Order: sequence, then C-alpha cells, then structure tokens
Amino acid sequence: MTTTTTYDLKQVIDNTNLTMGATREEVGEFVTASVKRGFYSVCVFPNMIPTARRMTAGTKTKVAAVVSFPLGVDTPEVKRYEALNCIELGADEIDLVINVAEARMGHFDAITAEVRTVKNALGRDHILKTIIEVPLLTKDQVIGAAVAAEKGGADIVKTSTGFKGLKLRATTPEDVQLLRSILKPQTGIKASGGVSTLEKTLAVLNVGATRIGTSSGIAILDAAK
Amino acid sequence: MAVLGIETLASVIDASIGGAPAATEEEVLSFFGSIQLDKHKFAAVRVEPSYVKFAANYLHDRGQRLVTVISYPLGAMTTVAKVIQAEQALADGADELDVAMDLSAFRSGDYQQVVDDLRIVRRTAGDRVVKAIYYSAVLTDQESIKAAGLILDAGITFLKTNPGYGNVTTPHHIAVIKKHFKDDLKVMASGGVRTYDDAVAMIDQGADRIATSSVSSILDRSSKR
Repeated sequence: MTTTTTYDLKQVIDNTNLTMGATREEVGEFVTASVKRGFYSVCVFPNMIPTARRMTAGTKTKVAAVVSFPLGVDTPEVKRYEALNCIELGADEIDLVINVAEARMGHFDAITAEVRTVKNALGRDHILKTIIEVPLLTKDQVIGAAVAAEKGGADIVKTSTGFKGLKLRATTPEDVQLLRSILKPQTGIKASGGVSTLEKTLAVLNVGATRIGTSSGIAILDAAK
Repeated sequence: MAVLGIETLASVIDASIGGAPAATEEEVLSFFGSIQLDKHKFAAVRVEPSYVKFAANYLHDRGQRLVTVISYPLGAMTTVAKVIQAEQALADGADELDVAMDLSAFRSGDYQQVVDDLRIVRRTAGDRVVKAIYYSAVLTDQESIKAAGLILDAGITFLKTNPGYGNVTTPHHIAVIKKHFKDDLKVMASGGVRTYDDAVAMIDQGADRIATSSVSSILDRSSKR
C-alpha cells in the first residue's frame, strides 16, 4: 500500500500488555521499553497500574487501563467504581468494555446510559475509550452501539478487545471506515484486535483511525524505520 | 470408573451457558430451558454479573442456586473492584461467587497480596459459598499446591481450577489438589469438561463439582447408563 500521509506512529499507539498472569517484572520491562520508544501510552490491566505508573513517572507516556475487561458484563455502577479506582491508582485513560449483550439486543439507550455513568465520573481530564466488540456485532448493531457510546460521552470508540479466549476476527479497515462514516469528526477511533503489523496499522490509519491498540508497537516502529 | 446416576451428577454440576459471548436475555432464557430446571437440581447455575438481577428470581423460583463470577476471566482486577463486584452480585441475588485469584501477583511472588485480596472478598461474601479460581492450566503441580494453600489461608475452602476460555483442566489437576489437601479443600473441575466421561474422570479423582456448558449431553449420557 502506498501511503500519502506521514504519521507520527509512536504517538498514535497505545502499546498494550494484557497478557494473562504476566508478572510485574515482565510488565515493568514492557513499560520501560515503551517509554524509551516514546509511545503515546501503555495499556495495562488495573492490577498493573501501580507498576506502569512507577515506570512512566516523569515521562510523557500515559497509562491507560482496561475496565470490565474483556467481557463487559458488569453493571454500570460497578464499571463506574472500577474506572474511578483505576484513576485513583494513577491511570490517565480508561478503555471500557460496553455491555455487548445490550448491543446485540438493540438496547442502545442502555449503552448510552452506562457510558454516561462512567464518563460523568471521569470528567474531561480523562479520556474514555469504549470498546464495542465489533466482531460480535452485525453492521446495524455496530452503528447503534458506536453512536450510543458517542452520545454517552465516549471520547474514542474502540473496535475490539482482541481477547484470544473469544477467537475474534481481527479489526479491518472496513470496520474503521464504517465507524468514521457515522461518528462525529471530533470522536476518535481506536483500531485494536489483530492490528499487529505496520501494513495493517497504516491501512486503518488511512481510513480514519486516530489511535492504535497493539501489543506489537515496538515491532511496528521498527518496521517503519 | 464410577457410574453416576443422573440426579447425583446434576447435583454436582455448575451449569453454564459457556462460550456464548454477549448472550442476549433470550439466549439466557433459552439456555435455562435447555437444562430442564424443573427436572434437575443443579449445584448452581452460572450467569454473568450483569444478568444476576435478571436471573435471580427465575432461578430461585425453580429451586436453583445462582453463581456468578468476580474478576473474570483474567483475574486482573483490583481488590477494590472485586469487592464492589461482589457487593453488587450479592445485592442482586447471587448465592455463590467464583472469584479469580490475582494470577500476576501470584507469579510475581507477592503471596501476601494474593491472600489479602481473596480474604476481603471472602469476608464480603458473608456466609455464601466462595470458590477461588487458581488457573491450574497454566501452573505447575508445585505452583498449584502453593496457590491452593494461599487460597486456604484466605479462608476460602473451595477451588475452581480454571475460567475456561481455552484453559483446560485435566483429571491430574484434581488429583494433585486432593492428594495434598484431602478434605481441607473442595475442588470444582472447570474448563474443557464437555462429556460424561470427562465428568466421571474428574469425579474419580475427587472433584467435588463440575462446571460445564455441556449439561444436556452429559446428563443424556448418564440417563442411558
């Protein structure tokens, strides 16, 4: 693919470590390496926020934490408390999994309500990304969920958890294109789940993704050299 | 191999809808219908936290007990989040909680955190049954024994081997625990228990319960013996 735009790749990547059972040392090393490469943020589990905070102290790299991850099956109040707890521990941004069942049932108002509950608690200072799990939804459900999340105050709509246990398909440029066509220009789009190479990264950026979630951030930067 | 009657078998099963991601209310009710709640008395029926309120009366009216999951399936939420999840689940009508151990703390050697984290959930649950998931699929036998000992230290006397999602339990995992802890710990085999033979193999090694989403096929086989 020929790219006509140049991206500051490291500044659009949330370099991600959501490995089940990773040790603090492993995550610490991952964060340190991510800081060294100047990524926008590291995305980690809530129980790794203190480690990530320590390793990013005094740097520009932000800490993002996942809430109700990976299934999104908590009640809105529990999600709110979990998000607030993450902020207290030092997270800058929250990646929240929506109640995907509500999207599959067409209960889009419920998605707006849960996103609003969390966003109101976070306020303007903390970016809220809402994971809508595109691979589990029909096109109509994607549209309904994305618009509902935006209406609830999501700063960024994120495509997928990439959770291996669900054997989800990867996020595609077409997924991003659809979201770009329905969301307001000021609402960001984070492409995640299988966005593991430079080629795939550029493909989704070219159609409107504003953020990339990947565990392969360093390999992607190396490939761009 | 033991031969188990259908009612004996049902009484040790935690019935779950299993790998049906983001199940709708209709799908949850259809699952309840498929396992014949008026005919069998299960050890418990599992629903996701966001469905506890929806399912509690339905299950209680049919004489069933409801179990839900905490920090599930990856075990990477904070203690605060776990307590809030537990409080919400109990308020919504859960009879029993399956809580995931902090696998990262365990692998990082922070055993005190593993114990403190679970102890608070145990206390929050009052007199309800609490089972702790210790991820036998990714631990050595020695690590499993260590983890089980910590769980016992936290005041929890019932283990759940795995959360499923690709983490498979073997009869050997059950034997390791039962040989070491005898009657001090009960254990539920969870993850990859799909057939009548799987279930009996676990019970032969001393499993006190079986978690499965293949309830009908297991009970059908049992009734034909």
